[in-house]
Amino acid sequence: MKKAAMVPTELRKTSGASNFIAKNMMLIALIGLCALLAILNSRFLTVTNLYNVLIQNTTVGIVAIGMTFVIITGGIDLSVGSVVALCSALGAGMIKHGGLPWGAAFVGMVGIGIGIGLSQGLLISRVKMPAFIVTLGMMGIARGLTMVYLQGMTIAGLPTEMQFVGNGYIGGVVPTAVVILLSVFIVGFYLLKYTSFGRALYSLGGNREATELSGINVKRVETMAYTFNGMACGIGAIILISRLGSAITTAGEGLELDAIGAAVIGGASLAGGRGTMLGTFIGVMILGVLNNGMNILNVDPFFSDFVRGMVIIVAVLIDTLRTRSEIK
Amino acid sequence: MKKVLLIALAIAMVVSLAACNQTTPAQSSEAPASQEASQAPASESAAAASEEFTIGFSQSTLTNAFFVGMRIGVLDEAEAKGVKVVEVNANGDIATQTSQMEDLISQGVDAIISNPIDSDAIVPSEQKAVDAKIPVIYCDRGSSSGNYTSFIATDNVAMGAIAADKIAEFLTEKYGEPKGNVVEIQGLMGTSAAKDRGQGFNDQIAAKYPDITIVASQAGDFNQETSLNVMTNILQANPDIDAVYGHNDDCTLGAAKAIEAAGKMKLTGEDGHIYIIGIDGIMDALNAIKDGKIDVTIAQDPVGMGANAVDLAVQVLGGETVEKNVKQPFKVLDASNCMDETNWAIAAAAQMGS
Repeated sequence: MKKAAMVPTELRKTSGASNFIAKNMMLIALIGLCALLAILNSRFLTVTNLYNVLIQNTTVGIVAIGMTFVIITGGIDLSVGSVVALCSALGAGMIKHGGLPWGAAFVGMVGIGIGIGLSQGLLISRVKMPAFIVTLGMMGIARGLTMVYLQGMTIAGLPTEMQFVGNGYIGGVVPTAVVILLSVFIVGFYLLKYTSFGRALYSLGGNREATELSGINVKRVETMAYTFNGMACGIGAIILISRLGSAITTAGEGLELDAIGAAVIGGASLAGGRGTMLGTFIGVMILGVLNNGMNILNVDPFFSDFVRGMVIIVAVLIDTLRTRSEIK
Repeated sequence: MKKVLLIALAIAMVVSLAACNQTTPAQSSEAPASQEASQAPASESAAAASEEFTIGFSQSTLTNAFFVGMRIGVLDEAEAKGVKVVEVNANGDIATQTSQMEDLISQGVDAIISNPIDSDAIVPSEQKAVDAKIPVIYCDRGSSSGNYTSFIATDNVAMGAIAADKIAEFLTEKYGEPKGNVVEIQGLMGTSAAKDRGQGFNDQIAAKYPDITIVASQAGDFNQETSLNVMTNILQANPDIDAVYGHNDDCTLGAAKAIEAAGKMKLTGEDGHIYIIGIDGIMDALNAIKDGKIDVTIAQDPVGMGANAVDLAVQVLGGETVEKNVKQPFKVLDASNCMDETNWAIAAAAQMGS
């Protein structure tokens, strides 16, 4: 954050062009990856499989959208995986034990996500606690509450109609989950690009003091970013329990790494001030296609972790080198 | 003003969390207490008849049905043998377990049955027990020292091999000989359970069934969500799959959901059914077997493990020598016996009241 703050405004302006190139670099990488997989296995490039990739990545995709908002402010949210687990456990409990209709439970789940995001946002923006610590703490709290609530069991046997959300197709053609993912994506895209809230996010991540001096309510903007991310976790949890038909204690494990990884691959900078919806979407797809491709090609699982890690490192390496050359 | 409000809010949050924290152990320690009270008269009268032994039972956690099953085994067998049990639960905290072990030693129990949270961290308190000449019997997880009296656990390699045999049996029914395409959904890479269950399965297939092809081995991380995604991708690459072996029930439950979502789910006995075999015997898997979606789960037997641990303790206290490493037998559960009340998941669910 410090480094970005030191960059003079004129220099940051010129970064628009190189940012554009970098964004396209990842798009080119995604297309190249798809082409390679299509050559290696004829079953990769089919409509069913492309839908598979999208459906499998709806939860991580939605959470990555929220994460991008947080990262743009120069923050981080490590709690997302645990929050998704807690929302899904409590949501399943509302349906199974509370007798709520699933639609109402879904609203409740989003509410829980928003509540957690809001309280984290308040602690970070107003009390000025470091985001890393607040969300690390919440990571433990939410996972712990999930464990206590589920007592190591799963809540299974949720209503089958609910699966329309996770596994169904609207009109028998378009997967419902993908429609939800794209809707959240469009909302995120609009907020970032066309609202004063979006501009304030970038400004806050780029230079906090200057933003504050310009009269923007920085605390409110920052709180809203975490609240939006909490809401994304609630929506991600809805898709998760609808796909599985159950709530599990291990839900969302490692989700924070995938979400942060996707945002960073998509050009978001952990220093704040940079990140786009399209970039994050491409980042999600690169990780998703990698996972899908390695399964299809039956790559040794030990090796797949290595590949995923390498992709993230290389993307961040490019990002860092670019930032450094800008400063020079 | 706002600041004051916010600080108040933060304090309220911390206090409520602290309150949560307090109620949790209180609740879980309440249950064992009432349990002990209810069976106390029985064990006392029995103890009066036989020798008076007291066994300390140090549990890692009770938030998992598996360990609830183990506790049922220990308590029931102790009652039957007329042995008194002092039970403590560390709630997953190593420091708590260490001090609880020390408490048991200073109380002068005759033997300790323990399910260590960590096989290295338990060593110092184990040494104190050994110094006090108290035999230590480990259940499910052992210690790295080797100074214990006995260690009872399930043989994961053998379970993997049995899974291979079961799949061969199903494929022989289908094709007249053991052949076909099998998918392996692996557990969390790097855990001993995943390693042993994979090794037992793969070695058995390689040694006995050359015509069975393992078309894909991918990691499902003992996680339903991951297994669902991985199996979906594998189905995409391999349309002709005859059977699936999962390293645990979450792997097979996820795989079954993938098969269902792909529109390929045919129940047991129907044409084109994909045989699914997992390990552990959790409740959801038993229900899926009942519904015909999954064929077999090879169940560990935590109830039997707890009971055998008590038997071993009584034998040691009676002056007998016991085996240092004891293998707990496992049960193959299919549609014929998946709903038996003796199955640990069903016994544990009844105990947990859910």
